[in-house]
Amino acid sequence: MSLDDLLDEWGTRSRLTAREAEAVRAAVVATRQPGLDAGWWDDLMGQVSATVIGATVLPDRARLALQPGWSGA
Amino acid sequence: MSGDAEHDFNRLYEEQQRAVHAYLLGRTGDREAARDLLQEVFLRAWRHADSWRDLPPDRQRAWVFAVARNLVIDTHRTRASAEAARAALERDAVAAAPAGEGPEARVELGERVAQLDRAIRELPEKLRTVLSLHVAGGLTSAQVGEVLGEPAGTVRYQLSQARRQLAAAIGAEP
Repeated sequence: MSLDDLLDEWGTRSRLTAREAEAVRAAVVATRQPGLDAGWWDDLMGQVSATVIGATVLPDRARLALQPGWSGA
Repeated sequence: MSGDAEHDFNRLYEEQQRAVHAYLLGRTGDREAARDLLQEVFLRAWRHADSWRDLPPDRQRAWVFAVARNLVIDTHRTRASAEAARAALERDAVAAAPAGEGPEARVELGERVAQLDRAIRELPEKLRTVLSLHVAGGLTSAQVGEVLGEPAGTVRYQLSQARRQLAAAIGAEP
């Protein structure tokens, strides 16, 4: 084999495989973002709670009490 | 990180990971160490996306390579695993030979590539890095020059030097 052929073969074997490259990428993006809004968890849980409550059968007065501005009248 | 930022990160990774790994391979002479450093480089890119997202593509590449350079400088790792990695490469070289060829040809190819790998590790770091960026990273002489801050003509001369030394080391035609 010529030096060019051997170098091509060396280059191919030295590069990361697609699977290795994807593993590195996935490991990086799995880390938490320091720039993430600290309130994101509260926002998420608020949305989950609203969805759960909305899907739950509540007495009319209890459902009314969850509405913004309800004064208890 | 927002979806757009993750999209930008994935694009940066896809476009630059091969060249960055080749650079780190050239600097360390160790494929596995280069992979670890690659992860560290892109971890920094992920965590400091605001530093590069608004830059044009060529500046983004410069940003990533600046991080890689600094990491190599900062990282003076002992190479306790280097021999194991080398042995693994030699084993892989035999195992990964083209399936269409007979066992003898695969063994011979594996031995020749392992011999070449040893010779590449013995090159001066500068020549090894230029060669790795060109061969493993797939960069042109001009692109290698941009990464290393060298004129393309200097890179071509260094590539020629590297090839001559390798040819002499393994008894091949340059």
